[in-house]
Amino acid sequence: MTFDALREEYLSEIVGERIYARVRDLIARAMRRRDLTIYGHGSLNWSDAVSEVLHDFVLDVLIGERQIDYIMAVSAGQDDFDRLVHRHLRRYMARTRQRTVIDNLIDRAIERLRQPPFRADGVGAEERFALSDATWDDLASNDDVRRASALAQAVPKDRSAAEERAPRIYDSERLTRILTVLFGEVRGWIRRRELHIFFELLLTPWTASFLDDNERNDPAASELDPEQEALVNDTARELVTELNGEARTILVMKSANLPDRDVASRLGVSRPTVANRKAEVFEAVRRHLELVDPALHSHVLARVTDVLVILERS
Amino acid sequence: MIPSDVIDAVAAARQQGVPSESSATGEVNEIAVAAGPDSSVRRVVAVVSKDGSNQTVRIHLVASETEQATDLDLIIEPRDDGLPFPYIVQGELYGQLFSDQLLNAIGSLRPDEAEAIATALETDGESLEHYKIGPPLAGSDDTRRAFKDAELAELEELVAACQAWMMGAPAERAVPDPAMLLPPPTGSAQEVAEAMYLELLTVLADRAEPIVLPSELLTGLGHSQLFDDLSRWQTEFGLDVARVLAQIRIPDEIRGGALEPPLRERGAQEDRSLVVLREYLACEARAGTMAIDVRSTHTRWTREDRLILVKAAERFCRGRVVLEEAA
Repeated sequence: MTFDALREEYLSEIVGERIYARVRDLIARAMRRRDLTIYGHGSLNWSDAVSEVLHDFVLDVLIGERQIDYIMAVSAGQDDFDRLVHRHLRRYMARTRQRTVIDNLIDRAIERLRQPPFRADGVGAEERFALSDATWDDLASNDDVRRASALAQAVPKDRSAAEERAPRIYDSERLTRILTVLFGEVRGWIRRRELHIFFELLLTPWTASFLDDNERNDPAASELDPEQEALVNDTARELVTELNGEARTILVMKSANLPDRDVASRLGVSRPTVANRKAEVFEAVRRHLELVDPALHSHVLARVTDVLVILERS
Repeated sequence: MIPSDVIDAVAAARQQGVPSESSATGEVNEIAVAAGPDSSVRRVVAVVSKDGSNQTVRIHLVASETEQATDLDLIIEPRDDGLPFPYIVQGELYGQLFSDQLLNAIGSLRPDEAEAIATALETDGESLEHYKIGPPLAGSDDTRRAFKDAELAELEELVAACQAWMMGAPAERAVPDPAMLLPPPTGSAQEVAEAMYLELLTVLADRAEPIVLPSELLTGLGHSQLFDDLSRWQTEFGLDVARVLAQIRIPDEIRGGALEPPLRERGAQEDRSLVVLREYLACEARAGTMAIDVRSTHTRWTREDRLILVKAAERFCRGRVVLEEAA
């Protein structure tokens, strides 16, 4: 398809099959690098997301705002056309971007970090935070942030909120606790960017699928009776006992969503080796979880993680 | 397959038609598409003033991202007598273009709008008081700053050639002054000098010694990339390339003080050279060259620039004649 064909179609139809198809290709290319949950207009799969964005973009921007006229007036060839569509597309995607629970958490965290015992410095994207008595000048390293997120896994999430559209995840007290963990662990300033890494690691552990399923089935699962409490403790203890030191490290690090590369580096083994051993650890976890009510799976996993983090620190 | 609601929206848009396009004239208020000299960048611009003496225009950059408007940008909503899409005319992003860089006219500002945006910067935004504008820029985290940086980079590319030329930088092309190539008047001092110079060359050749071509000539012509143009003058206008030799200075060691620097007779011959120069500039205009420098060497005390504007095939070529002090 040549640009002349697109121009001809524009002059006679404004937007026809050719322009629609070309814009679809450009959107598909742009969507490949983006998170569907944020940019997919509520779609659950990639193909639907492209169709949704294409539909809305053509309707709202190319036709609604008549930006197709601007694009065709300025374009001298296919490259110009593609570049301008892409430019409008980026702008449109930014405008229609879905806020995530992480965005909400970061906003709440920043509000909290502007008060003692924390202190803030700078403005906007460069605003940075530290504990009031911190003496360093540099930014915290990503390794520090990853380690802190592993430790912060021990702070329980508000599991009853899983069904909410925009769950808080942590109430104010727990949010302060995890921020205290974060700032106690790092040796440098934290900006919005580091907070994003921290919360992303914190909220996307490999256990996510277990948690989602269970909490959707039983929103009130956070309330355990004494018998359930005992069962959760016993199962967690048995699982931890079965795991050797290396397996525990793998479980803790994967719970914090650390990449296999980091685990391999920590254990001094290759990545394929970590992949094999990780599969064995997960198999052990599944075997133990099968023995308890699915409604308790999330509690067992949370308890195991808490125990392992404590053991790891000691 | 286009969804039915999109088809309906397109059908409604079709009722309004597409904006009409015509060749840009560079008149004040015009909204036109402009391109850099090598067409690497194409942008919509608004013309706010015109300099007829050299056919340049002052423009402000237009963008369709209205949410990026600041309090120094004029926001224009779609309207019946204007463009169908909203756009901003950016008060801080302006520059000078050769009028030939304007391609298609796609609309126009109202005269009061053009006046308001042209004076926005010097009035610190007061001229835009009764118009729709954006909020003032905030701190360093204001995302509009990144947008403005990117816009500035494109503007700089768009106006670079014209701006440099206006500031006196060398034009994209340089050619020799035809006056250098015209034969001197019969019996003039220059004719005598040239005859003596040729005689000197003959004497030197007879002595079987290498003839030393003055390095000033070679370096100067080579630096200005004039060799090819000297040939063109000869082919297209029948001018004598060898005449340039009359302009060179003979190094002291071979001149021996016997030869005076050539003198230039001006007057009637200057008019002839101007006719040739105009024809040449018209050729360049047709070829799309927007500005050239006409290089010459005269025995003058001061440097002097003159502008010759020639139009051919709806295009302009600006010849800036640089009369330099003799070396």
